[in-house]
Amino acid sequence: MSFPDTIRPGALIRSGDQPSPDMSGWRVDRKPAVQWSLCVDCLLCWAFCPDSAVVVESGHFAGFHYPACKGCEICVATCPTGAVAMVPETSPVGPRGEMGGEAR
Amino acid sequence: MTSWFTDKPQDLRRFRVLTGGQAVAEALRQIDPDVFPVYPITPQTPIIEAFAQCVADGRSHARILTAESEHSAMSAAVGAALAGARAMTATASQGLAYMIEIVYLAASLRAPVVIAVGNRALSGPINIHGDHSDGMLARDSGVVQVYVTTAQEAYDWMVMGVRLAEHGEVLLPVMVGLDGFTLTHSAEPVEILADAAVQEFVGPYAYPYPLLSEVAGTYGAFAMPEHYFEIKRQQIAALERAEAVLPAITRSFAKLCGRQYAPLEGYCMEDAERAMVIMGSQRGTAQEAVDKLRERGQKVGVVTVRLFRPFPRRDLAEQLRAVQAIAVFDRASTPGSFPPLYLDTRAAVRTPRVDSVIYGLGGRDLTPDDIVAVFDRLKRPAVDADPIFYAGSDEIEQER
Ligand code: SF4
Ligand code: SF4
Repeated sequence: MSFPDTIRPGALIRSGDQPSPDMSGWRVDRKPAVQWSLCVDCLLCWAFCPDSAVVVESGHFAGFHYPACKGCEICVATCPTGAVAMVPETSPVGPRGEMGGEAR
Repeated sequence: MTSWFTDKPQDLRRFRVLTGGQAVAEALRQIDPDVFPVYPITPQTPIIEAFAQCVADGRSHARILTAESEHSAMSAAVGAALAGARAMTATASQGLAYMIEIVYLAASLRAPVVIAVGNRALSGPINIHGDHSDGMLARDSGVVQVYVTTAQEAYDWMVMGVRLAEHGEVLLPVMVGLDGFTLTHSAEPVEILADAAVQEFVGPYAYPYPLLSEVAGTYGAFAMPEHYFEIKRQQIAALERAEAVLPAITRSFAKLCGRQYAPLEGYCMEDAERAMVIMGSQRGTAQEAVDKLRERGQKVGVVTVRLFRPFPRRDLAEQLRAVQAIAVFDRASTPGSFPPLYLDTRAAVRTPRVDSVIYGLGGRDLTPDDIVAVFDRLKRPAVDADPIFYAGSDEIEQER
């Protein structure tokens, strides 16, 4: 089926209907990264990220999904422990922005 | 006893003397919706009073949500319907005006809410009596609109309305309009079906995409122009399908009680040369006037439109095919243009002479004499300078 036949009655949208857009082009040289030793797994960054770029696995914070991240820094502002910081795009952090140890 | 629209003998024990409002409440009790969000307004109040009594007496499991406005009542109904609960409501006049924003949403979100409307004039001046101006507010919202002519029809269409609204090909709100006071507050014998028969007829509520299911979803998201246009187009197509699926529903309803409904109904139309088109409770008056003129040998007839949206244009064209002159009676106005039923009729037929008559605004009586005068007017050449005739205000030269 192709558009417009894919529209459900009432324009109901379901998870996975659309590929999540690549937002990485919005970032200007900096990306968020997490210092695991400071993270208390409160998930505030997940709740506040406007682009669902904060990954949660089995109920625990698991880093950032960079293609979805637009670099708005809301996660940095939200994190109560200072565990999230913006780092240069070229920083040698993990693929999900992991720094300094392992997730709790 | 046989009723006027069925030859089958009727079981008199099933008849009760009820007002239109009480008859709608009986239908509600038997349909037994899950949620009934509502705000009271004259002349809809007898519906909710009688139904609230049923709920208080434990004769319906419905949750009556006393909302703080019609806007909220309809919002709750839409939310409930999309969540997976059968939701119904009732309103009138200013209440429908206040609700209208959500009525449009209900249609576009495809929430199959059945709404009883005790049709009443819109302010101002403030007036509580019957006309169709409130219903016409919802004319372009995408809901199915039915205007009934008796308390019996109000009951019957509430029951059939559930099936129509929830039909998988339709999934749209259905508005059942009954004229304020003339129908909502006037008592007449109404045949009430067995509770079990109604329950079986409407069946369980089975919305195909309920929010309270295993799969998460979102209703009411923003749509960009490309999507908006196509979503509207789907919604329009769904409303058109309501006309196509209706005959199966009316046929299965006829099996219960013998009453076989159609989107519209002709009276003395077989050989009619002049005809009138009307909607709502004044049908009786129209038929009386037609009878009177037929006694004088005049070939006149009347078509009563029940299903107003989607408009049964092909059926109407068929009814009026051989007619030479038509007068369309509207109980609503479109200031600055022609009234709604007139425009729809005009678009459906090729008859050169179609006159517009506005009657009954704010509950003004329409008399058989008014109608006779309009039929007389149809015999004379059209008066282009005065294209709309206002019944009860304009003088017409009576035939000797
Ligand atoms: S910077 Fe943080 S809050 Fe902003 S999009 Fe990226 S992950 Fe989400
Ligand atoms: S990074 Fe900060 S906001 Fe996010 S879960 Fe860890 S402590 Fe909470």
